Amino acid sequence: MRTTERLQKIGRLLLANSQYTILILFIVIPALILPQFLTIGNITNVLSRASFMGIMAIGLMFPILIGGMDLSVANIYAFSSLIFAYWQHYQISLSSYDQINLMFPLPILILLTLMIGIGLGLLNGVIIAFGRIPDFAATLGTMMVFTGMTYAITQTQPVFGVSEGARLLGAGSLWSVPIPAFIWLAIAILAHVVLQYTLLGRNLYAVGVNRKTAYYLGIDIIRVQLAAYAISGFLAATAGILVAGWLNGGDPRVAENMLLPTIASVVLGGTSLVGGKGTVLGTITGVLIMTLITNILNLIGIPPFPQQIVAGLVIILALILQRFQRFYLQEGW
Amino acid sequence: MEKTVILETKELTKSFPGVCALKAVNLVIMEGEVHCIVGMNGAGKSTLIKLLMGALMPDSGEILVEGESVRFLTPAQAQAKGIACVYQELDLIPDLDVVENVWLNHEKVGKRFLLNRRAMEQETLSLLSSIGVSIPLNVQIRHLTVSERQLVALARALSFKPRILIMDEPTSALSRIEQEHLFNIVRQLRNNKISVIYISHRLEEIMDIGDRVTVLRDGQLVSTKDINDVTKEHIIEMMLGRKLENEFPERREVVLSNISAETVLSVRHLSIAKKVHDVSFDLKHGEILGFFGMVGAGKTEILKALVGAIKSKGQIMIEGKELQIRSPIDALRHGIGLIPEDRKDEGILSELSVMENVGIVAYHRARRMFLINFQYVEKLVQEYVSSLDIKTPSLRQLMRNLSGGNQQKAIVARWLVERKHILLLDEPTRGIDVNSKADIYRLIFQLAAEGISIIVASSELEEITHICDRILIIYDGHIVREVNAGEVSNEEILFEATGGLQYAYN
Repeated sequence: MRTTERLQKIGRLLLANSQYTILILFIVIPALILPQFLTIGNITNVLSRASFMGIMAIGLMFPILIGGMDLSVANIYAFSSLIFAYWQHYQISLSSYDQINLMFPLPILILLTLMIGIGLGLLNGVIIAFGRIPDFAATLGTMMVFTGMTYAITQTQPVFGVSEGARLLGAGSLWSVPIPAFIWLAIAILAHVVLQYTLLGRNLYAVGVNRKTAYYLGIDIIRVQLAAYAISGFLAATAGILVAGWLNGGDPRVAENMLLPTIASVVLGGTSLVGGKGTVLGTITGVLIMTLITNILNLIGIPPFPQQIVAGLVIILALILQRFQRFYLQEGW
Repeated sequence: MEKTVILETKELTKSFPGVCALKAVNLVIMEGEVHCIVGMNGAGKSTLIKLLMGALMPDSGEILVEGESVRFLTPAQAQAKGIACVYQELDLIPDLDVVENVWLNHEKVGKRFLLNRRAMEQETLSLLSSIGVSIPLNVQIRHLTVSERQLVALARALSFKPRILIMDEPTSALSRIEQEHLFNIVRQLRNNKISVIYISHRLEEIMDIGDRVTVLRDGQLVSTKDINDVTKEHIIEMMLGRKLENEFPERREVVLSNISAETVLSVRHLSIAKKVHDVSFDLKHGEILGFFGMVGAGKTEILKALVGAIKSKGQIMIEGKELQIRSPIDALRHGIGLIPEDRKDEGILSELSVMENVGIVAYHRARRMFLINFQYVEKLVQEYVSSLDIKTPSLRQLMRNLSGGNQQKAIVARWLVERKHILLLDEPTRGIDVNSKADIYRLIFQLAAEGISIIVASSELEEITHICDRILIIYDGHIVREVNAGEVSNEEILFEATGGLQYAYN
């Protein structure tokens, strides 16, 4: 009697936090079966892959939290990584006519790239907030524009070679932990604080839960929208800078197969696509789950295309579990 | 005359985490009766409806339709058994038109799987005319008034040809005349042997329309009585489990010195396209000003225009200074707060905690550097939650889990936490129970006593005459008359609000 009650309680707890349960399963089971899984090499690999998507996913959370969507994140990511590499490679000089090759120092280039990210994000925000166009349609449009811009810069050719400093940021590691993972962690903590403890963060949730109520409460909805999309662009550009370092160059194709897994990981982390619900910790979990799916299937030796089938099915199953969890815990339907 | 039992519940029980919403309820509904169900908020009425409609599964107990035990799985199956419901929170789709809403999900299909629009239109027309209303069929629901929506929802329910019709607070959005009309419809249904389960807070209505009444309290069925065997006081006693002295708290003594001559807000020649025509009035410091009028008279529009949510022409002056108010952001900056009529859609943040719902307005001053000091907010909110007796297991509880009355109190509490000089309340007690109502009235008095100027818009006459110092009667977008509290009879006010002399001349 006592034990069954306790078991039920544990069951409820696991179900109530299904994404964490899944993540634990995805770590424990392969650890027992696959000898290569818990090696330093593999962990480092998983972490750095997860970092790029993870940073972008945290950014994407902001528009999703207000009930919006940013379909252009992956393209902001690709564009900024490319422009960052391009500047490094061709050493943008203060003037192209004299022979002096004055390259901007790395911090300035990083700053410029981040500002481009913010700018592109703000562009999304402006179109949505002032043009009063549905987020989905607006970012679908800018997604195509950004894709075009990315390919136009290099005529589809990747750019090879970035500076030492950029290499270190994207591919370096400290105590076997990749630097991007540290940056991801720092951004996660910052994002958590912003979302939970600042006026902007709470207003984001309020707008996401009920836009009309937020309006009558005097929340500046346009400002909140602009901020959300700017943050999304900013973090996409951050991830772009890191991936340029990791790849030692800029490749327009990094946008491919990036958008949907990023959205999927935000949703897997328990963020509601309707808005108003979601946490940074959940999103991190979602990203780790997504990355682990690919990693585990790679280790088992399943080729890339069947992998997508499995990954898709796992996502669907995880979401069904979440749905079931809501029903079971009487959150209503 | 022996009547047959059409619907019966046996030991029906349902609990939610932390609350037992319904405990062993044995309800018996006869064929062709109007069976009223009353109870305070949180007594279990909504849960009962949801169980009958198959929107929730009971934990134990059973539901019998004509003696046959059914475990409904879905609302569709409940409908197939002849149970239909007009929900309090109208479940129509704003972007679809009247016909589409009436037939949604049970559309008439003609040859080759195409919808038979004409048949649906014809039947909608006959349904609407059977309840005696004329609403254009091709108009989107979003363009209809709340009361028209209510009637469309009723037409939808009737389109299922139900044998049992559940009506949840059907009159909460209706004016007196529309209400009379609804009663005729209910009587007509009764004559056609359709059982009506009628849920309402308004006891007068129940005495008027009901055959039998069931009282629920704390999830338990207190008693089912023949309406002729009970009095209103008796029902209230059963609802409360004790005697209630008065529905309204002691009317505040209007101390003239209390309301100074100082005008806080003056509105001149306010017009809103098609809705409000050249309205001018003044609001004095510490005064409770009432807007009384039927649904659709333009009260809501005036209040929304005052906070800049609706475009208007005319002047709005605060303390003599003319202001441009373009949005609620401007309004709040000038000290005007609005508590909108539509609680669910415009008032609450359903998925956030009670603490956030109340405390959100205070965040800007609870900041240290950039961070909100939640301990401070929590202390503020806790104070008002306990002093207003807002019933919630904890401040972390999600707003949507609270009953309507408690949600309303929480929304009003916002503007206690962050005080504004001018507070506009639109239908502040719609759909909430007697106790919460009294609490809200007390709160309004307290705010006014502290020098906050208040406008209350309501279509409940007793509410307006009880709590307001001065009343503006609004009819068809005009202020037709201004009266001081207690100066004229309720009948006279009602007369003016329903067209007054215009009526008499016709």
